[in-house]
Amino acid sequence: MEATYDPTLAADPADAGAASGWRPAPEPAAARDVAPAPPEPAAPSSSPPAAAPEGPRIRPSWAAELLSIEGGARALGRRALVGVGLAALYGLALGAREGGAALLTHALGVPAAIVAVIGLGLPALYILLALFDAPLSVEKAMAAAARGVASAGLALAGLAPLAALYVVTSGSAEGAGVAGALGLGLGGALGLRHLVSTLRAALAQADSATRLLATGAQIGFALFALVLAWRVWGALLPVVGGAS
Amino acid sequence: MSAADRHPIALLLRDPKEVARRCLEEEGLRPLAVGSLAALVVGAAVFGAVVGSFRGDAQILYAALKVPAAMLAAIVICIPAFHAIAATLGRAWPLRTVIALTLAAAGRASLVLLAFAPGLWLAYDLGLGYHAAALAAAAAYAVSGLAALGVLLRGLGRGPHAIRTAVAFAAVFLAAGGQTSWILRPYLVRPQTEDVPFLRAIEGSFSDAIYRSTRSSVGIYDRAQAEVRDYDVDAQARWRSAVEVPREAPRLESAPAPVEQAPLEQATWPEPPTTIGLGPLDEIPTPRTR
Repeated sequence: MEATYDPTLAADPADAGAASGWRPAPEPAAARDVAPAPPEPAAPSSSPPAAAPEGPRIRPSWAAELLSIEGGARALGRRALVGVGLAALYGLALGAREGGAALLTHALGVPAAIVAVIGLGLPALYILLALFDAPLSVEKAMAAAARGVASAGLALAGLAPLAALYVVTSGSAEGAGVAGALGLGLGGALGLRHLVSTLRAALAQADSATRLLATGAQIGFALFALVLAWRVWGALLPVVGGAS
Repeated sequence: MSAADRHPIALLLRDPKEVARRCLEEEGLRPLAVGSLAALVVGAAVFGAVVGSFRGDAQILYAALKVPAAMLAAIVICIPAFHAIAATLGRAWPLRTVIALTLAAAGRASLVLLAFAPGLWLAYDLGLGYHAAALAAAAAYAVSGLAALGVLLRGLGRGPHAIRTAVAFAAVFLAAGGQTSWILRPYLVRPQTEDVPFLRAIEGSFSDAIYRSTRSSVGIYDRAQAEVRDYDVDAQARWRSAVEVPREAPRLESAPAPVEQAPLEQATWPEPPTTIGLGPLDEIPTPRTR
């Protein structure tokens, strides 16, 4: 039996139990399959059931493994650390405008906001959700945090060359600052999206009232995360107007 | 289907869906990548040469080198971003897949540019004006971008966030391509321009230019543009002082009786230089550069 890789499964925690992205080929293809083949013509009733259309077989990538929520605390911690390291690459790109010590300042400053949001915000959110008796275990909260950090780091690292291009070649400091801030916003938003969606998937078993309360708490957490991240970046990163 | 129809270049043009499938399954990537890269370099170079032919001479070579260079640089910068965006939006593809898909899309776009090149050259040869020439080149770029998007969309398939991912790809490529092109300008230069540099000095950035152009389009002029206008006013003042006839000519003791001067109002004044418009950014003169 040949396995088929569906990258959308690897990245969407709502699809329970498919975090690795691999599944057996004969499984009926879901509507979310990547590049599905054209629909098969209707088979006569006498013939055996038509095989489900298969999407392209894509081998798993390190990014899929990085964004997985499987594994123990050790694996989750390693992924979170990788995410922090990747976010530091974006900091290096921002520091390239000034060079020297600014490289280090920015490389530390960019992941600092991510760590602050996870370190300060997630425990508070967990306590709040526990008050509502939401079925969220510590392990799932940690998995969501690791996934959020990893995805923010991955997005920021991917945007780092583009940020370096703008930061280094912009004639004005304002232009460089806007370009850097846009990347920070995009990377942070993608990380936050993954964190919140992973939490929501973990709360899928809860009753509707709890889910409603949890949604409100998550919205509050998202606002807190945005403001805190911006506060930290604004204070630490000279290129976006922070301390020099 | 003949063997020629299965050639990577033919596949790029005729069957973007098959190209996308090969990229995703990492099947026959080497010929596809080599063909795409060749198409990119040749197509962009020929198109650049045609754009440079508006000015002629060395600008043909300059633009033929710079257009593919700008495109290649943009691709190199975009690939990590594409990889990260695709992964975080539900498509954790291997990097090889992202590279192949991006190269194929760029190769297809360059083939479209190659197809536009003869028509554009003929239009330039028939005397197309500067602004129309710029618009025609921009239109060719837009169509080629749509052709590239065809490959990317088929690669993204119909999964979750496909449109969002495609929009993010397009935005990232626009940002990267815009800035690399901005750094390597000029491409289209007026024929009467005497000296054409290979590269202009860095003045702002692509995003700065868009920002300033947007503001000026609603009547808000920033300092850089005000400098241009001040410079323009100064130029007119200098011109006037250079051609102005003194109202009272100095009289020497031994000089013959002065010839009666024509009244000042009757003197024929040539028209002063017209105001320098804020046309295409390549043409904005600034005190720093001129």
